Amino acid sequence: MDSQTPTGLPALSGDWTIGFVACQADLLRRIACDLAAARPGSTTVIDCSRIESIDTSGFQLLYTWATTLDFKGIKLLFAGFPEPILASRALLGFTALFASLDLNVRK
Amino acid sequence: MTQFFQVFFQECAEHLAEMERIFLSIDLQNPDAEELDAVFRAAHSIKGGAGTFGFSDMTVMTHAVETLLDNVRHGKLVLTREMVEVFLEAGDAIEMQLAGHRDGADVALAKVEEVCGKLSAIGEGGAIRCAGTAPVVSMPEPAQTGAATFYRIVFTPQANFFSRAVPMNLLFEELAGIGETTTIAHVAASDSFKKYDPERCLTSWEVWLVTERSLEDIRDFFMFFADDEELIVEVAATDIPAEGSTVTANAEPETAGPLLPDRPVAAAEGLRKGRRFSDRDELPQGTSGRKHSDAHDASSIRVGVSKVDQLINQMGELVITQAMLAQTAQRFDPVMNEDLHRGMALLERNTRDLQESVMSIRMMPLSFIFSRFPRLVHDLAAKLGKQAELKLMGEATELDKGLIEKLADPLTHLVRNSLDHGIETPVERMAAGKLPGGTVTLSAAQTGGRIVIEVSDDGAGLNRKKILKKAADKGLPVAEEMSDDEVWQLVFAPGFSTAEEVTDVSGRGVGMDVVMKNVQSMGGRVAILSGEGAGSRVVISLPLTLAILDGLSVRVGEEVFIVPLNSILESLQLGPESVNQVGGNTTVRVRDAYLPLLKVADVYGIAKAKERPEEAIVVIVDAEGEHVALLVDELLNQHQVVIKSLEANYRRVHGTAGATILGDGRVALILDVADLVHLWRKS
Repeated sequence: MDSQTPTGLPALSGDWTIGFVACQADLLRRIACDLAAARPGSTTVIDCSRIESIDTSGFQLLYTWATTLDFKGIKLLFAGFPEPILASRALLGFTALFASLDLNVRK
Repeated sequence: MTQFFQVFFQECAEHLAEMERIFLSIDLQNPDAEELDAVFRAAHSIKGGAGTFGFSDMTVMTHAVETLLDNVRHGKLVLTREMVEVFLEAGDAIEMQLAGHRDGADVALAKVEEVCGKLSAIGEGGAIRCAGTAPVVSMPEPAQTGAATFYRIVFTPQANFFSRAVPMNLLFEELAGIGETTTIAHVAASDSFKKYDPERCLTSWEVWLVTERSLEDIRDFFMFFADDEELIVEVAATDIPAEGSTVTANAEPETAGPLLPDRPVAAAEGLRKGRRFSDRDELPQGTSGRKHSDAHDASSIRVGVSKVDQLINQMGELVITQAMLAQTAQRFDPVMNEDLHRGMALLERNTRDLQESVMSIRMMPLSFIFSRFPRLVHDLAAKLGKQAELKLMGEATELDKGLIEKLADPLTHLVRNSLDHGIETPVERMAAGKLPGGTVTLSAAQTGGRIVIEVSDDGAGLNRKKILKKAADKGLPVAEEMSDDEVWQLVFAPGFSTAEEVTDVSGRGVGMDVVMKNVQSMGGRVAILSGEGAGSRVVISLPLTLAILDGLSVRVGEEVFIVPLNSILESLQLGPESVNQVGGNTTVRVRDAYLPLLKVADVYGIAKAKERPEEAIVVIVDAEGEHVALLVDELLNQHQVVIKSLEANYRRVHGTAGATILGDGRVALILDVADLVHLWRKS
């Protein structure tokens, strides 16, 4: 899984279902450390366009990551969720929770 | 997750059996509304579970059945014989699909397609596609013309929910399929991402649903993975005029949307860290899921057979230990050790009560296997061009679970035989002065310590000449003067068949010998009674249980035997005037009846046993209807004995039902009185 886009933005990719969330959580912890060191107080856009699959555990992970960082003053915005992931998010009822965290919705 | 699959598979099989039972007995002229509701609910439950677990092929098929049934129960379709046949075929197809998911068995897609085509034809234009696994259903849901109900569903799964791998997307799709839904996930707040466990579920859901379905229907959607404490389903409002349009599952509501009066924002916002708004101690009493309202579910649990077997084995050891203690206690003076003897009596009583309770767990009603035969008779009679009615009697008779499972195949064979060889065609029956439709009767009853199961018919009966000829052709030793009983026994010879041609029903001669072997392996016997033109009766006699029985220990010479208590009519000491010699046999006169005297010592070649009946004890036993006097030296004691298999531990000993360990550690044979009489007659 890549953790940066070619433009340097943090990027998330691959499988975010229950079998993989432990690994993905480790990745997010590393990204969080980088963000805390490099860009405190700023808003960071996370490229989610290469997320391939996700389930409740994945959405819960992303939401918790974003909200715990928010407590520390690190603002995140997710961007570029693929259509199937958006559909899944709506179906599982996470749309409202991500409303303020999704760059595309905020636009 | 496996446990949930297993629950679904079991419940699905039960629902299918229930559907089949109802379809086979339903009155087409005046179908019972409750039965139609029951069969609809069964289909609906299968559909809900299948959808939840992602078995889309089953969802499609059951949806089609459910839709048609809904039209039938609402009077939009008239139930016909053809429709019932298609429903039965659909049940078979669903069962096949179930086996595919459960056992990896092959699913005949062509058959599924065929059934779907028939269902579609009944639905008058409703199109159903069954190919592949995609849940493509274009048959419309029942029109939402009536008043709908507004439900609030709160699902708060346990922390280990993710490990169950429940496909929530499928569940929400199912819910969206029955009405207008708005789903809102809530995630409990976490203090620190460092300590965050991504495999712990912090999510709960609140679903607002407008539908015409009942509260019970809604709960059914969650039935396979939501415990009482995890689910709240409540009516938020009633009599909502149903709109034609529905919100699709993929729609993205901006927020809670207009559907959410009094949305519990405060609750959502007021989450305590690490908890969700509906975690356990915040649940209102009596508002949770289906199990509160389902008394049946709440009063029974599913337990693995291995656990029950372990309990029975341990019970057996306890019985032996109690017997050993009782034997030891006898050495102590009852006056000086009154408390000890009182305690031993209490222990014996409690052990007996416990044993009865434990044994009852393994007992199952024979309806468990009888229930499959109405369908078998229905299908086979149609296939053979015969008219046959199946009568079931004594279905509530209980038998050990292990025996019930082994009994299924022999009974199936016997019922098929009755239909194929016994019951005549309507033309033949009428020519013989009978009604065109025959009757096959399957009955069960407990007699003494055994269960007697009979398969009888009012057909042509066994053909003595034909059997003798076939037996002679096969090289079996036969003679014209053989008794009927001896002739009927020939059908148990391996490979024996009188069928003129081999069909898929019978004629290969691989039946009755297997029936006999299976029944004998259960400690049972098979007997045939038949009259030409009057029908046949096949009688299977089985021991009630293979575990523990009440017995009377008797001494013969220096050996101890156990006589099952339920075989004993009485025991007495006879005077010389009651003993008669008739030919080479001895009979005893008990009141006005003359009974054959069976000397146990002679059968087993025991030395030093009492020879003269007037010096010994006579035990009158019931050997499957025949009264016989057993000669023994002494009556010892009454026991509960644990039956140990001789075949498994030593070898088969004729005339016995097994062995047991006595209180002093000795092994005693348990007599099977009917088999003992049979053995004695043969010798």
